[in-house]
Amino acid sequence: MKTSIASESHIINNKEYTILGVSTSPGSFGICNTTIQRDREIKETFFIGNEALINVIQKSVNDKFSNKIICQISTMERCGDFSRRVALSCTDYFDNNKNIQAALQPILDYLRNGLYVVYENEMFPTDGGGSFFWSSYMMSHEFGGSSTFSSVCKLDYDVPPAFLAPTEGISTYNDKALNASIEKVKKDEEAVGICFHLTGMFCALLSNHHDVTAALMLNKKVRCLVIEPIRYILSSNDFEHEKTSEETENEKYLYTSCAKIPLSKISKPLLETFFITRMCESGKYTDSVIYNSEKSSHLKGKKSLPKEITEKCDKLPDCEMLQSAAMIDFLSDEEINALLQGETMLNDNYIINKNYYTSITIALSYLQYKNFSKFLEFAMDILKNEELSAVHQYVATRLQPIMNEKIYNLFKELLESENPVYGPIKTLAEKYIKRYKAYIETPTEEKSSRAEAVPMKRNLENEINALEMAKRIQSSKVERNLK
Amino acid sequence: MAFETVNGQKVFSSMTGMTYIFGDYFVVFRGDNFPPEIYEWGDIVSVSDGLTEMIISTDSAMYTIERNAFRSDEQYLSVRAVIEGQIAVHPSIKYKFNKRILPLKFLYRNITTPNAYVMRGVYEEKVINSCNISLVSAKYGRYIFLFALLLIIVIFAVLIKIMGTLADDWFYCLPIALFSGIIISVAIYLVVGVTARHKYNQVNKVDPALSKEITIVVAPEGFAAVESSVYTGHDLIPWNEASFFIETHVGIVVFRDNESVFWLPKSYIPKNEQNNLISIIATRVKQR
Repeated sequence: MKTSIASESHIINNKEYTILGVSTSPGSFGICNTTIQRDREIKETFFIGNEALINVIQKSVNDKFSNKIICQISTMERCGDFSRRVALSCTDYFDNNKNIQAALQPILDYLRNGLYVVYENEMFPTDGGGSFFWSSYMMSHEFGGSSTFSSVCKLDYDVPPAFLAPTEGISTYNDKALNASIEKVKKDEEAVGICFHLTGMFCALLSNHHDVTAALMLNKKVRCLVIEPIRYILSSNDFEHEKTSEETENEKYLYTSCAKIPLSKISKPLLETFFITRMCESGKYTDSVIYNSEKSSHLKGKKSLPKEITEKCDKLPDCEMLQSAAMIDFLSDEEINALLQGETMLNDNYIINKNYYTSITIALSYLQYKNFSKFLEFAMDILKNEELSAVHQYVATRLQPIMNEKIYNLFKELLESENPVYGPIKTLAEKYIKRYKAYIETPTEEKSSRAEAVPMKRNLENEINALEMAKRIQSSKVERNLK
Repeated sequence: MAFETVNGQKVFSSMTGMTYIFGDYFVVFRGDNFPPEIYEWGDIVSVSDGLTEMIISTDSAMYTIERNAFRSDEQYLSVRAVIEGQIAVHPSIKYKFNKRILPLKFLYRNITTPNAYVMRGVYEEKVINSCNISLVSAKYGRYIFLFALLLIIVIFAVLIKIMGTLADDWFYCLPIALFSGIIISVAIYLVVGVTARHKYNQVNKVDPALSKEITIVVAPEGFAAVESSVYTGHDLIPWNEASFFIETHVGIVVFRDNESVFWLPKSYIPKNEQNNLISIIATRVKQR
C-alpha cells in the first residue's frame, strides 16, 4: 500500500511549521522504542530499514526531565540508497525551492506512521558541550540538554533543537571532500542539511556532514530542515507560568520542541493520525532493529580531525546557554544590578526565577551567549561581592576556562584576600592562575589559533561540586537567618 | 505497559455519529464538533464489554459503542487489547467482561524475549472439550469414583432389603448393584461432557477470539496465548502469575487462583520440542 501523506502549514510566533500526517507507510525510517528491560531503562533507536543507527537511552525511567545517553552505533553507508534520497530532498528544498512536502517526498514515503512537524532551524555542529559532533557519539555517554522536556525551562519555554548527531561514520571524513565543501559553503555563505529530531536539543544529521564541518571552519551558519515526530499532548494546566490572554483553561497543545501548537489549529484528519499512532507502535522492521540495536557498534577506526575544528567548537554556545536564552528575552542593567544585590525580584516580578542560585546560573549562561563582555563584568562583580558567597564557587568554576587578564587579576586579588568568605574558592583561583601563566607563556601563533575566549572545556565535576557547596552555604545561611 | 505496540483503532458509530479512537488516549470526535474530547486512560472510570455494546464511562460522560460499529472481529479484538493493556496500568478502571478462554490482557507485562517457543493454531472444540473433561476428571475423578462405590453399596443394600436375605440373594443383587453403579458413573461422565461442550459453546458465542488463530508463546520469562491479529511479540504473562498446571493427554492447562488461564494443546508442540517445552513449564510452575 502506498504511503498516504497529508500536510498543512501554520505560522506560530512568526515561524512557519509544516505538519505532516503519515499513514499506511512501510515504516522503514524513524525512531522506535527498542527497550528490552523496562524497569532499567527506556531505549529508543533511530533506524533506517533494519539498520539501527543511533541509540537514545533514558536511565531514569519515569523522569522526562532527565538527560539521556546518545550513542551512534552504525552508519548511513549501510542503509542502501537512503543517503541519495536525502541528498535529493536537500537539493529540491534548498536549491530548487520546492515546498516541504514535495521536496521531502523521496524520504517521507519511508517515514514511520504518525504526525510530524517540519521546520527550518539554525544548528550548531557540536554535542552541546563543546565537542565536535561527528566524533562525539562513538562512546555512549549522557548529554546535557538531551532530556525529553528541558530541565531548565520545564514546559514553559520552547527550546529548539540546536545540536547535531552524525549518521555517517567518522571514517568517511576526508580532506578532499572537506575542501570541496569549503568551496561550496564559501559560495553559498552557509551550509544546509536535513535532520531528524532525536530528543531534547539533539537531531540526527541525515546529509552534508562535510558541508557542516566546512561551515564550522569558516564560521558560517548551518541551516537545517528539521523533521520532528510529535508525540506529546500538553494542557495549559501543565505550564507553570500564568496563563496569557491566548491560553484558555484546559486548552490542549501538541508539544514540539520548537513550539506548542494549539489542537484547535490542526485539522481533524491530522489529529486522527496523531491519536491512532501509538507511541510504541511496532512495525515491519521493529524486531530486527531491536536485535541490531543491542549488537556492538559498526563504527570503524578513528580519524584525526584538524585542530581548528575541535577548537572552534569550544566557541559555540552550549546547551545551558541556549536554554537560558530561551528563557530570557532581555536582561536590563537594572535587573542585573538587582541580581548583584542578591535580589530575585524587581518591581514585584521575579527577574528570572524565585531561586537566587538558579537565577544567577541562568543569567550567566544568557549573558555568555548574548553579550560576552557583560557576562565577564557580571561574573566578576558577583565574585567581588562578599555577600553573594553562595554562588562564588559556581561563578569561579564558570570562569575557569576563560583566559582573560581581568579574571587573572581578580583571582590574584582574591587569593591574597584574608576574608574567610573566599576560602572555598582559593583552590580554584590557584588553579586558574597557574593555567593562565602557562597560557601566556605559549607562543602567540598557537594562542591566536585558539579560541579567544573559551580555549578549554568546562569541568562538569567542578561545577557539580560548586553547586553542592553553594547549596550547603545557602542552607546554612537560611538556618542562621531563622535563628 | 502491555500491548502498547498494538495499533490504535478508529471506530465510527453510525448510530451516534461519533468517532472513537482507542490508542494512547481515548478520544471522542462528536461529529464535526471540534476540538475532540481527549481522555487519558487514568480518567476512565469503567469499561463494560457486553454482548451487544461496549460502554465506556468517565466522570462526566458515558459513551456507548454498539458491537457492529467495529469494522471487524480483528478490530474489536485490537480495541479490547488496547483497553486491557491500559487497565494493567490503571487498575482503578472497573472492568466488566464476558467469559473467555484466553487469558485477560491485563495480566500481561511488556517483556521481549529472544528465547521463546512460538506456536500458532486455532483452539479446536474437541481439544478444549477434552481438556475440560480431563480437568473435571482430574479435579473430581476420585470423588466420582467414591460416589460410584457408595452408590453400588447403597443399591446392593436396598436390593437385599427388598428381595430377601443376604445369604440367599447376594449373587443376584451384587451384579445388579455393580451394573447400576457403572451406568450411573457413565451418565455422570456424559453430563460432564455435555457441560464442557455447553461451556465451550457459551464462550464461543460471546468471544470472537475462539474462532481466530491464536499465537501461543512459552518462554523462560513467561507465557502467552493471544489472538494472532494483536500479537506483536512483546507481551508475556510472567510465570509467577501462575499457580499450578495440569497435563492431560491432549494438552497442558495452566491455572491461576484455581481458574484456567492458559491452554496449550499438545498438537501445537513440535514433536522434538515437547520435552524441552514441558520442562520449561515444569521448572517454573508446580504440577498437580
